[in-house]
Amino acid sequence: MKSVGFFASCPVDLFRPSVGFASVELLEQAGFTVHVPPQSCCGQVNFNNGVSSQARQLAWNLITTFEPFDYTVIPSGSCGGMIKHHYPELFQDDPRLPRVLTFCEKVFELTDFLVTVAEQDLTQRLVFPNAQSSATRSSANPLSEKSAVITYHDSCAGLREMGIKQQPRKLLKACGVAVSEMVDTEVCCGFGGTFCVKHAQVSARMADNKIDNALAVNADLVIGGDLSCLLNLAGRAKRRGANLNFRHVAEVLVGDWQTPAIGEADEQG
Amino acid sequence: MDSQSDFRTRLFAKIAQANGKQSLPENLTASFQQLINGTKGQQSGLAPIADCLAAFKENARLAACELFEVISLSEINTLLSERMPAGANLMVSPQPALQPCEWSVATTDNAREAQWGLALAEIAIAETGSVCLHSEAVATGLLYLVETLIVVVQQSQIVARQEEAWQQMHIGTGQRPRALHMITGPSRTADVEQMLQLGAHGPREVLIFILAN
Amino acid sequence: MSNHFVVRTQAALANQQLQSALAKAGGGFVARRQAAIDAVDDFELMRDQAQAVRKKSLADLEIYLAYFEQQVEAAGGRVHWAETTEDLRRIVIELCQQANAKTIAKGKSMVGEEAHLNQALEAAGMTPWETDLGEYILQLAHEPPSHIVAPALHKTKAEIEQLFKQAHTLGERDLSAVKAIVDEARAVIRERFLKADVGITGANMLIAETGTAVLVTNEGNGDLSACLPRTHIITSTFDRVIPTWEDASKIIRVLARSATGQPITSYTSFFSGPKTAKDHDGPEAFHVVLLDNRRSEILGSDYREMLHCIRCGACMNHCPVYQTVGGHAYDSVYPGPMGAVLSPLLRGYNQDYELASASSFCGRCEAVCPVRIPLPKLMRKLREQEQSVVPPGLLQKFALAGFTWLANKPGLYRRLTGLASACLHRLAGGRGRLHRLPLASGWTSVRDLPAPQGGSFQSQYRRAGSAKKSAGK
Repeated sequence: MKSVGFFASCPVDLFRPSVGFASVELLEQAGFTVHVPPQSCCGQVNFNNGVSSQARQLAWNLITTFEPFDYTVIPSGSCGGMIKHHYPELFQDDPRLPRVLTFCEKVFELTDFLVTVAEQDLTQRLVFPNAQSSATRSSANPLSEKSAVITYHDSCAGLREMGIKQQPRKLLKACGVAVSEMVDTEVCCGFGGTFCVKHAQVSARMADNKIDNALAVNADLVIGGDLSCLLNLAGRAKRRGANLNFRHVAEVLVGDWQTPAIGEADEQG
Repeated sequence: MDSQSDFRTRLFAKIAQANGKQSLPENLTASFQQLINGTKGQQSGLAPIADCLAAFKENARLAACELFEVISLSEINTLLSERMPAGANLMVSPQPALQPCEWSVATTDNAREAQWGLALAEIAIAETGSVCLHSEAVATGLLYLVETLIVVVQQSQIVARQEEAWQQMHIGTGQRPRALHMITGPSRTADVEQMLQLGAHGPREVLIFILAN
Repeated sequence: MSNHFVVRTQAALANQQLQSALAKAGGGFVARRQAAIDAVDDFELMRDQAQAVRKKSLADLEIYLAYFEQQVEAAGGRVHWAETTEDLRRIVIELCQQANAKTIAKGKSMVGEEAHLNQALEAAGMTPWETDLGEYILQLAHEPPSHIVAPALHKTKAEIEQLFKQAHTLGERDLSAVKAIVDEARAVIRERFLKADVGITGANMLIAETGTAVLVTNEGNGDLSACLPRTHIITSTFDRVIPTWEDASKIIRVLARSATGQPITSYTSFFSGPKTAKDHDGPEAFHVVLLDNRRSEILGSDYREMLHCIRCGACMNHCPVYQTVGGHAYDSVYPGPMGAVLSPLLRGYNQDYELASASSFCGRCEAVCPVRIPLPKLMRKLREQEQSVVPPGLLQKFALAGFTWLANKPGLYRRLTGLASACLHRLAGGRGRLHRLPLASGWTSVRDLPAPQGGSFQSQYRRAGSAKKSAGK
């Protein structure tokens, strides 16, 4: 069995472990041995704020930790893009470049990995629990009803750096989830790392546009492949009192409806 | 202008250095010719256009031109009689090919007094439905000051792409008209709330008469 | 230290008229460009060709530029060299004075805007008349442009109506239709071409082989300004020179498609020197004024690719930040993504570095740039360069350094982040989110913070793993 080193990414690690567990389950179901070695940050925030030396330090730690595995899989287009797309750039004048390039070839975003490498056929697993399996149905969760309107947000880095567009949709379709596309799925949600904090007002407006687009298709749930986007959107939606829920695609694929959606209160009882 | 020529010298030195070179070459013309040797005379490298006439008509229409196919110039008179308003003047370009024709409307050779203009295209380009006219053949005013511009295109003068047009006109060092106008449809603007409005400062209408061979 | 861009964006967000104008413009450019690209099979090849032309033009620029000058002068024209914008203003004024110019017809020129040419001409006692509709509107409003292709994009129809009614004494009339506004501009501006002593335009490209200035427009005013007055002055920059007409065609093919979604503009004109005996008309004097303004520095720097820009505006049409705040927030005649890179390089204002941070790095600009300029990469480079010019806030510097130090120690990182996650979870008290958090007001000023689930993934996975082991699995 081939090995996968799972890199959770900071947002997942710190804010939403359920995405990590869902991803690991999906990878194990796909027939891989999953390892979660000691990990921290990919260095994107240092890189984007002009401190390449710090980014390189963190990058090398990551590379040396993960290179023993056959694949490195990340449930994020943003961190995935940083590693696969930008690590070569970070090391372009460094003698370690060949090793970096070898490593980067084995790096994948989760949905892309499941579709292209694992060729996972998820038709057997339905997102919405069937009538027999009453143990998994949560009647308190209206989203377990097939009538819930679900839409998808394409994260910028996922789309433009990792080529993630059809993969999550293919997987969702295989699970019986119909995606109601909103307009401007490919327009930035306003996260952008420190941008969302340095330019909070502009970022909030961008998030508002995205939320309005989701509401315009009567969406109940917005799914995405990048937790940072979802934290940003969910946070803004809650502040606005918008009636919209947010989940990571890994959670939806694995059928986790127990965990409260992002920013939602813990279930009582 | 000493400081200017001083700056000019410094600028060239800076550019050469930025390009990893010491200075300008000894023989500028020879170096230039050598550099363009590979590309001069080359085609566009894009997909060939099978039917230039059809493509020209389609693209000219998309650019908001009105198209007519005629066998002789005198057929244009029918349209002129029907469409030119009373009191309007037509300015016909003094191009030899247009001279034999008798025009059925009032003409003028002052662009500032003409509401309609008529000229013959040097060459027409199928890929965009464009016509090329130049300053040795036509006055600027005829092309830009009139309300309606009529351009006659000889079918044999339609080429597929721009590169062929330049080659057919033998454009190169020392060989070019002082002003060449590649015109594609009427003038237009979208400066008011991005709403397209045909007819800005140049002609409001462009009528193209394709003259069969 | 306050961020000037942030202050301007707050004003922009609150400006209802601006937001209304932006909403009207927004989707149109994007949709029209996409339609233009969908209509051809080979747009990617066209992009490759255009990029190759810009690259090779710079690689031997000293030769092409010298040849261009030679050709212009062989035709009886003159080339002038302006190191700074002040030099450009001085040269143009001198040329206008030599031509006894009282009135000047101006076609759109970004270089003219960059050099604040109109003000200088007015100060020298001359009357520059803008003839491009967008620029004319701005001249009436006394405002700078907010977009490099559609300069009055920030103006609503109602505002334009008002400006015309105030500026033109034409009595009672209905200007509510776009056609009426454009027709009135046509009538008012017509006299300007016919009367002007000098015409000043920009140039989209300069062709070396024939000493030719290429003008790409839709309205016709540029051509009239170039051909009717006795003197034609072209204000451009030395890096616009390309080798041949065939090369020009490569750029022409991607320019209008990227800018306005047209396969080509109504007028693509090629001007090579003054009127000769063979011509029906044309200017007696033909001057090309070439500006540097630090571009020669850029050429020899890591930002060289920025000089590939063909000024199509696609980047700002697709930029979510530009679409939210408009061009004036950038406080430069070059706004949006290309402006975020070019403005600090040209002006050397420390403030301009803020523009490189005003990006979420979504990458849409790079994706639509017809000549594939790596704009986010260049902005990132500016962020790096900014550190030595404008020292970062101490809080940011130490937070980043501190976090990095911790991140280099995986064991300690896991324990501390596990603790932090658990604490924040408890702080949220089961509500799932936090309204406020010390030191996180940048986030919580506009959003709630979804609470961590309690314990980091790594700490939970470790525990789950040891639970598995102890259960003998």
